[in-house]
Amino acid sequence: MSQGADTFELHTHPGRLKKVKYRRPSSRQWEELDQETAMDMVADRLWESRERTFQETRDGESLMQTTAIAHLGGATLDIEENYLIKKLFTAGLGMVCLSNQARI
Amino acid sequence: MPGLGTSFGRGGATTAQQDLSNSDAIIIMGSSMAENHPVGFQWVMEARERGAKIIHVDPRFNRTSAMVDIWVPLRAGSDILFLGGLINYVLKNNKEFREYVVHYTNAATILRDDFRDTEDLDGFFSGWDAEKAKYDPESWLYKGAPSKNGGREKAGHSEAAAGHGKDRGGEAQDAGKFESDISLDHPRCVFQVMRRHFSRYTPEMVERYCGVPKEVFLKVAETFSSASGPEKTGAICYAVGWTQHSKGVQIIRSAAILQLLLGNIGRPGGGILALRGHASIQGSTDIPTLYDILPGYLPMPFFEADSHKLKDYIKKHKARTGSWSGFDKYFISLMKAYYGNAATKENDYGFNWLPRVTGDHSHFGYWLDMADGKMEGLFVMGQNPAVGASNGRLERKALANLKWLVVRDMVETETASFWLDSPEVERGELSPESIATEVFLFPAAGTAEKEGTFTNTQRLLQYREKPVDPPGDARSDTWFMFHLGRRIKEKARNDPRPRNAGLNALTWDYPTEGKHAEPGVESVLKEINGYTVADHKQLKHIQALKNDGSTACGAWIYCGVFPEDEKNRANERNPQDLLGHGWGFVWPNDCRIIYNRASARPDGKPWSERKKLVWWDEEKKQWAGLDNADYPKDLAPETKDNLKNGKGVEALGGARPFTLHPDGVGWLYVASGLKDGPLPTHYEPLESPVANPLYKQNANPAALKRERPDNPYANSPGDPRFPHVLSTYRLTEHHTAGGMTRTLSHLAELQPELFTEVSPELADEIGLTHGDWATISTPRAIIEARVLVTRRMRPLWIDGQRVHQVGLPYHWGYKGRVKGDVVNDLLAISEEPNVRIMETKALVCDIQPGRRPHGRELLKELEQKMEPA
Amino acid sequence: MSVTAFLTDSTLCIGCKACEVACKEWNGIGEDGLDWSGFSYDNTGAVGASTWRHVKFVEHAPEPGFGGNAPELNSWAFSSDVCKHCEEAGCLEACPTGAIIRTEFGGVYVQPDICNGCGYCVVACPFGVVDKNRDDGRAFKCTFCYDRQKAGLVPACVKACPTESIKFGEIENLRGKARERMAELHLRGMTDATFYDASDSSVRGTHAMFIVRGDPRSYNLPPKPEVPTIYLKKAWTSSAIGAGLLLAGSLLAFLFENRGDGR
Repeated sequence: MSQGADTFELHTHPGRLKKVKYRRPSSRQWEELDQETAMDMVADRLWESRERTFQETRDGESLMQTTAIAHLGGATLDIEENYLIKKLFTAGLGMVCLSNQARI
Repeated sequence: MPGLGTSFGRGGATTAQQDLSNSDAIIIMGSSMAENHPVGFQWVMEARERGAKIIHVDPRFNRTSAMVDIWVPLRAGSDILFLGGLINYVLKNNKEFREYVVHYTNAATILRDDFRDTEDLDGFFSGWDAEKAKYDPESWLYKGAPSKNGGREKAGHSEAAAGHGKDRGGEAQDAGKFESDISLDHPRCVFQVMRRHFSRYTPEMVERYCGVPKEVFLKVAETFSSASGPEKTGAICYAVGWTQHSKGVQIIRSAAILQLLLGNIGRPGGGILALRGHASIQGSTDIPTLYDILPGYLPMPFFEADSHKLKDYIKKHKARTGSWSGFDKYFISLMKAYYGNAATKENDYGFNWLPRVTGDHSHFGYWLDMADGKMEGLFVMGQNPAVGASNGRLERKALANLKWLVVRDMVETETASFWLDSPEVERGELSPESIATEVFLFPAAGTAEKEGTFTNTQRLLQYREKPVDPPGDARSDTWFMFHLGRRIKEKARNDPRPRNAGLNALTWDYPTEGKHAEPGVESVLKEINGYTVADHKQLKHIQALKNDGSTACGAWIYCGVFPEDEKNRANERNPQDLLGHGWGFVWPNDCRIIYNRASARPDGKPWSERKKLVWWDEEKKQWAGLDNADYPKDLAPETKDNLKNGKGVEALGGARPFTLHPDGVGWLYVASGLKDGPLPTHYEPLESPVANPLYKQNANPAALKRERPDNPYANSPGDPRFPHVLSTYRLTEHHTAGGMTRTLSHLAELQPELFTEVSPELADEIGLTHGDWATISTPRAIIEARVLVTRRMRPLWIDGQRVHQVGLPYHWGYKGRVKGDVVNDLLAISEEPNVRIMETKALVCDIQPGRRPHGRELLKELEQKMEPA
Repeated sequence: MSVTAFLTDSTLCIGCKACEVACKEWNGIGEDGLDWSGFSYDNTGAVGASTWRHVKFVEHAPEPGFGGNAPELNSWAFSSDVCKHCEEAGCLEACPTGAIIRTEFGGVYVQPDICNGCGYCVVACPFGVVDKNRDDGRAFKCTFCYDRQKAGLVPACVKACPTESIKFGEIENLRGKARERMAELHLRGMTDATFYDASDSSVRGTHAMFIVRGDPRSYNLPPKPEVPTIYLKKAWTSSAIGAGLLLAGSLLAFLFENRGDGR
């Protein structure tokens, strides 16, 4: 309950992230990135990895899967957020490696 | 939650936290409820104030123990022995609620002649395949019930599955062909088989191997079994202290058996409350981001011979009797919600656009692939596995093998910065220059900065409105997913390859609002609720779902949450009664206590005035009462069942409360659906200081150790290098891996540093000084912590040997206002066979006074430690 | 406008520290040290200038078969401490600037814009509650959520308490509740339960009352708190007598002198 009582600080404390941070391969530092650019870059990476690793069939049967891209979600996410994650990543993109902390 | 799912039908808490105030006795075990669920704990306090006896079973005397009547310290990992002891006590002393057991459980059902118990086979049930290290569950079935598919792969037993799917099993049987004996005397009926199975779980055995004094055990047994019968009820609360074991599901099964025997399910003040630790843990399995299920516990299709055609898949999972007879309606409506008009009868409603599961794609399954360099990209949202996951060293090093990593959080987490300041960088195992991973860290909105729905521990959906906008570029995950989806769909738009058929068909036309084009969250919830395809009217009830493509529904169990365009029941704030009707929406059908048909006798009258909940109203000819009936509203109690030929829930007749099961009763014995046996059996943890007192087989044979050089284990039983029992746990002041609390001044000051709790006896024995430092090691890691010597920890005498227990809260990491070593580095990656969860509550360790070495010296020390003793 | 009070019933306290955090959140107080104390689960020590609610952790030796709340045993007790808001408040009486006032709710309130940091109130508090701020030396303590009460809200700690361990209401009403609770606890076998409001001492009762198990001293509740100013009164009386005697002496001296003159 001490955590619940600290909700105001959780949202307003100075350590909150407010900008997208980006780390290049082999770099020793963060850099700032414009959000729209970052979204485009992530979409590109996702698309390219899917293109490289997607398997449409196995033994002539439909597989429609990639096992090379994964998602790990928290149980602090809303059900609408989880719904869109499962819908896009699994039903749309064929990602099967989805997991969260609610494995009980 | 297959423990509850297989026993009762649904993988959710059976009751509401408020209802605990109606209990006559409560056992809290596998949970420090006062620490981790302080808000819900108020109703335990309420019950205590009304005179209920509260029992807490826990290795540590913690804040929960401090509030209860009876505290029972037991050896971590010996839970099934203790619960089996209670079951044996009930059976030996004829304390079961006989009428309930006969009518509402499968106690009378007769098993096949070739079934063999662990008592017969020294720790194995029949069907063990030593080569494949798994069970063939065929011989566990009921007598006379031929398995579907001619004995081929049984649903719930797929090698790849993790057992979340439908959370039950049982579909391999035809409920019309069971044989039963309601006298419960038949030597092969479930009741008698169970009696023999638990006969060695005696108070003496409990004393000797759980470390619980016999008189304390008997006090608990007497207290709890007295809270049973028409006039009384008792409840059981558990949390991850039960689930995070190599046999966690079977611990929960033990509780289910105890509660069914005592007639405590579906009744006020009874039930099993699975306490989920975060805002929407229940929601995250209902609307899963898990690999093996689709929303509403529909199983993901596995790459198997019978799952390439929709009709085969449906045939495999649909039941003739009970609620799962609607499987095709639920599934086809989901496909319509996903793929819209493109999903047609001709193309099997897009069934083959769904990916097929081919292996263990769970967290640990794919993380080990990542460690082996087989993964390219990873999204992490609201999680911090660098601190929160088992074997942190392996987890963090695996991240360095990715091409790209996307992290979305409110703060910069250890996971996001693993390449910069992780212990592996400090020790020189990794260097930023050698890590080619591209990292994107997105600022996420907090709960008060976005709209949305949580489903809490009691299946209650609560919608939040948005008080404030998020700061800067922080956005909701709905925003992120929606706009990422928009971009990806754009890339696929003119690409007709089969792989893009589903993606192109995916309905993604959510309205947006505001300057950041936030998608309308209510429009997503409306899709989850479901609507008619032709005229887009919201569905009012699960019964409205169709199997002909005329309805769309994102999660059948949530149907009814948004029954009209302007009626969001998750956002209702007008509580009418103790159970909270009028406040939010509970699935299914706003039933606050599920299986509540069991609160009435078979003839429809309440068992007693004191414990009435739902009853048959003779005048109105329907079920009435203090809760919505979890039963067809007008199915009269005297209706005869027609299990042989009938269809649907109606075939169960008027007196079978567990409507998701094809036979409509609670399962003391789970014939199908669990990978490690139909009955709970005591096994030692994967790492234990003592040998299994019951069988030669020491640990759960079906559990997966995932042993490899970067995930080593201690010898078991009794590794002299690691002589003590270790449990990890949480404190009320911090949230799991701490990203949301170590960063805050008010919480950081309350628990500013990692400490280890030890008994004065252990401190004396090895020379630990209160307030000083100790070094704790397992085969995976070495960490240091401040020493808190307290009488709240105590050594236990186990079979004549003194066993010490060491406690470690796990909230700290290498970032935040307060820092500390990562406790989860000590844990092994292991998988319970049904849900693939790790063992965190019972492992072995060494503890020595003083601080640990740094840098490469630490790795050297770890190597030396592992040299055979 | 009624005279109000806290009743902190530690038999219901689960040690979650929500009151401590809610108090700091509402009043905008930061952390005052990130040091691990090793003293049970208490790392904030005591009520002070930057901790106005504080949960104490009192450990005994637990026995299997008895939980902490069992009538026979009390093995880990939690109790939320706070300014007592005395009827006869030492701090208020000692304050030379008038910064400390009694509010219409009966609470004792330090007006930060008037306090000059002299510290007289600190030594005058019989409970060791009032404390000087490390930055500018002004005195700070629980305001009894004067701002919230004025707006018709209950104090932040009360609002946050999940088990109703901290009760709040009209003072006589609460005293009645406390008496009922005491009778009930004794009936349940908790004969060591004690009601504490210091009404039998010179502080003449408090607006923060407590129900604790065992010796109140374990919870930093002194058996006989005294308002230091009662000694001041004695001192004033003796000074007054002394002054009177002196005056009388002088007068007499003049009298005799006059007589002498007249001789």
